[in-house]
Amino acid sequence: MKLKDVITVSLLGVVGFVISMVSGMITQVFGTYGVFVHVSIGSLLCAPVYFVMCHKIPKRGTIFIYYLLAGIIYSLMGFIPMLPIMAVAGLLGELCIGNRENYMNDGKISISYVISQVIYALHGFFFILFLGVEGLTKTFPNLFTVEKAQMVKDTFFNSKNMAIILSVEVIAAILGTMLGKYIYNKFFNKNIKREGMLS
Amino acid sequence: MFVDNVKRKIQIKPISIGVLMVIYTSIVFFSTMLVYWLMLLFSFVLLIAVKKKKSISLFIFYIILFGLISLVSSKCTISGWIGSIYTMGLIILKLFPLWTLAVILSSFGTSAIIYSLRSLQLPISLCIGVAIFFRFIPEYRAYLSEINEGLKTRNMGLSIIRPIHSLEIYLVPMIYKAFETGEILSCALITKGIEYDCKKTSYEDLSFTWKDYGIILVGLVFLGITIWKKL
Repeated sequence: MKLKDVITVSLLGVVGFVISMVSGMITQVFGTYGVFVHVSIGSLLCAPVYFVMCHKIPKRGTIFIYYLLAGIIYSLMGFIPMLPIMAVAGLLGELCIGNRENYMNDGKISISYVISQVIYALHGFFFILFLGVEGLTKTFPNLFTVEKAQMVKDTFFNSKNMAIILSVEVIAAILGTMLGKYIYNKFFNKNIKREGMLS
Repeated sequence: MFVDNVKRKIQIKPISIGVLMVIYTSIVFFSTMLVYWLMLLFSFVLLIAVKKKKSISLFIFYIILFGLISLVSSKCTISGWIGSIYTMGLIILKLFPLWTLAVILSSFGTSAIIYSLRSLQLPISLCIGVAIFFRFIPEYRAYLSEINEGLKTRNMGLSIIRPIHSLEIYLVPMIYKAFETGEILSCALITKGIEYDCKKTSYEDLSFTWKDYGIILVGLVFLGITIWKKL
């Protein structure tokens, strides 16, 4: 990747990160149901950024840097366990894209985006899976009491809840990719000939 | 070779704020209330030293949020969506010392942050990425207000009836702005010779002074107190 590409990916990463953060905060309004849509709104809104990024910077490492930077910022904000999760999301995104030529392939971009966002959406599940109730209360003692951590575990280890979380996330990410494709073609794709004012 | 002997001095160096952020990150969720207040106070003192005006607005925001959280905890039943918003407010309060440091870090120039990160022998891509992320998160607020002004002049705005259009009018200019800023930044960095294969120097004096050592020492004291309290 060239220097300019790294800079552009970082700046697009900022856009994605800000949208994710703001939409994550908005989901708090849903109260206890917020856990089901925590990342979903962000997935829907960030897809255009992802689509434009992949099309405009079709180079290996683009997706990985995009997610890794968000992970670094999360960890500097105190959420250190987010770093490996975001790194894995970025790596899987890169793997799903496959060849370098596929960075222009809408289908492959969509698959890559959905997989990466699902990993991101399951961060709560991974926290509880790897840290356990005790680990979660020890890692974030001022955020989780044993009861609250147990409640989080019960939410994520309930197959019905998990199915809802995954379904909502996958649907949001798929809708996001459709939106991403639409916005890319409408505003950024120079290969599409538009009707001019005089035509 | 041209050597600039008159270097601009920065009061506090980005690297000392970065080290303090790492220390804060590692203890922010473990610290006792005493350490938390000390961390917050120290962050505000540093912010006042770097950005006086910003510190006032941030302090007012903190006081309002703290007041609201105290009010909710004393007057309301913490459940449902009130509980969720209350928890989010608590997280913001808890992470406030870190965010104050992030505000300080965002006040440094991109070149100063990149040079500081490079001195830690980190890969150049990572240095550039992290520096840009920190530097440009606050900029997006300004971009949003610019977009808002532009939309006002065109008599456009958010509409529930046209959700995709509402998204387009905000998102598309932000993406374009990212590309535009990317072009300008790349030109600036290439002009400064970032791609040239030689030992890099900085126009600004980024060597450590007693202030920087003092900042790190205070951070280590907070870390020590937290570990001592936990043992």
